[in-house]
Amino acid sequence: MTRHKRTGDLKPMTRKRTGGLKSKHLYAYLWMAPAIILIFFFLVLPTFQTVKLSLYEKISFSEREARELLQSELQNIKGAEVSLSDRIHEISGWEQAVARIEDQYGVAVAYEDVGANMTVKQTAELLTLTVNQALRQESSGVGPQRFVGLKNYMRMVDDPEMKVALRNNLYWLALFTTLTIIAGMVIAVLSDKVRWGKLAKTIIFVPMAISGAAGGVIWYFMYQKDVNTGTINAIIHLFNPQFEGIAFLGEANLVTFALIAVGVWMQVGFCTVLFSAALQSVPVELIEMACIEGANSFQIFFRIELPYIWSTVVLVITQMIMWVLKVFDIVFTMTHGGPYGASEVIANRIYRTDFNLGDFNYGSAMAVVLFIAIIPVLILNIRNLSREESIRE
Amino acid sequence: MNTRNKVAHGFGRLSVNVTLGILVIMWLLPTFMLVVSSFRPVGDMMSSGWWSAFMHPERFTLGNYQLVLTSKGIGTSFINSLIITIPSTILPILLGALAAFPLAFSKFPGRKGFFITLIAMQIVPLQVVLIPVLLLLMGLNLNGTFPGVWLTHTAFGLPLCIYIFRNFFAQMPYSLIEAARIDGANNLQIFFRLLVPMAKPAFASMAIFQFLWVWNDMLVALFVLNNSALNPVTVKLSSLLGSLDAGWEIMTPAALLSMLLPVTIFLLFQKYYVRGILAGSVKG
Repeated sequence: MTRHKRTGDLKPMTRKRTGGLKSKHLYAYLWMAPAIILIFFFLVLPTFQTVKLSLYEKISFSEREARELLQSELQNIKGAEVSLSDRIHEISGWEQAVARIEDQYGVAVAYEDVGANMTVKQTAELLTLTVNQALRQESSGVGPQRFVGLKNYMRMVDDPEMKVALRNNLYWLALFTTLTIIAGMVIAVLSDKVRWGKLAKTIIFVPMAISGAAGGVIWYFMYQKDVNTGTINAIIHLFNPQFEGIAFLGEANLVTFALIAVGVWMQVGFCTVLFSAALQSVPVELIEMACIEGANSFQIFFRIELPYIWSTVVLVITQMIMWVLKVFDIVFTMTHGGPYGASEVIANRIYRTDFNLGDFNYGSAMAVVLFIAIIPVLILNIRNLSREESIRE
Repeated sequence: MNTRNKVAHGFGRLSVNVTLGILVIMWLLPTFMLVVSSFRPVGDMMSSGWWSAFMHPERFTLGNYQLVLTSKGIGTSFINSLIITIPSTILPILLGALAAFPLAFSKFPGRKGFFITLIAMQIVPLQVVLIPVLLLLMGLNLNGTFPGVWLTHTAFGLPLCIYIFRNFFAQMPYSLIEAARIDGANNLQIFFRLLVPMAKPAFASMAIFQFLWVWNDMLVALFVLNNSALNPVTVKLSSLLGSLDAGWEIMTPAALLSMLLPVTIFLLFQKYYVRGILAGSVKG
């Protein structure tokens, strides 16, 4: 592999290293080179490229457009209505009309190509073909593009599906974050007080190790409408024999909450582990002292433990917010955003816009919005981590 | 621990046990449901709940498992998952540790900037970069291929790997490295003979972390692989469920099998996984 080649080059240099500063640094860059190259081309550069893509729009020159354009140009020259079945050579000044369209798109049609017995319609077809060919040659990968400024962002404002997605992301943000934090904390505190606490934590942690797809399959089955087969409906039926079962994933009002429950089931373990580790770090003396002074468990938790581990709580909240803004697997697997878009979230909209509609530009604009939503968390994290960094040095 | 245990006693202890017990059952129930269902004939699955299966234990069957490995390309998708996951786990760890070494021990210009970039890149949502990455791979003719996915996962895994390794290396006693230098060891020797053996826990953490992440990934597979013959098991499960192309006699064992490897690894190496999480960050 290339790595061996590189390390081969390295040896003589590292031997020289004892001398100058420069060769010492050279080894650093060489060792980091593969990582730097990959991070640059797969993360740093693409971030900027996405921002750029979001400001552009795909140009597609349709035949209808070509026809209308040619007809109006011919009309301007002739000063009268032009029919699509007219022979183009019979309209005086047709060369000018064609030339003007060609100028607009920077293409050239040899006038011999426009045969004497071609109709206006056929000429438009020829123009469409030529223009599209030229556009495709200019661009690579994404197809012909045109700068449109913030148009893609404006589109989002009027996009009803995007509104639903944003609303659902807010539900996720509020409910998922609150529930995972509270449940994670309750489980961490309780499992700290029982002998089988470690086992309890492991069981609650296991769903973190499985994929959103597998979790989706599990809960799709759990949510079955039939009270005889769907576990959740069966449990409700147990308490209320009149109950006939709800299609949790089929009801527009319920589906997002049903999916949030799956997310909580999968992610609580993460909160539990972090909280649990933080709680272990609370000095035993503090708790003992409070005990001696007669504090009860609640007072100890809210007055001593919670303030002590507050920085961990903030860290977990930011992690949950980042997770929830990007939530995708569960929604994609269980509902594909349905029924009728009722459970859409931004990440799923991005995927569908990119692949089902093939509109990378609009999809990129959505991704940028997602990124902007995460930036405050990002800044917070960088600050925290670089502060740690400066302490360490 | 003991002092903490004393906090709950008598009635308190009972209610703590009961509450935690209920929570644990709630968390266990869905997985338990899947396990039981996967061993039931499909007719039973569609007509009665999994809890009634215990009344007819003679009806439990391995038939679903025989079916699943041979049908709908599920067996292939498991192999695909392995082919995707193994290099995508080894590469970022190797390249990450290599890059972390100078970052921990040399004060080269641009070090601070690189470090901040690393932190920032851990948090960039993958959705933000996936389309340009797809276009890049298209340009290299690597879209829809395993090497394309390996490169993508490696790049996405690197920031966290470098970050964790750097922190791990930086905690090591510098005098040890100085001593090795005085003995005439070069950087490569120091790296492979001294640091790698000492950093075994960090390697274990990152290996498990990256393995689980790639094995469970669906987003990268959907964007840059997008090739039905090479799809991993996550995408396969998702598309089977979405198209209702397979019955529950296939879905349940397939989902369970897809969980088997990550859950086993997780349970065996839980200590290292938790350590990886505690080490700080979660990747985008």
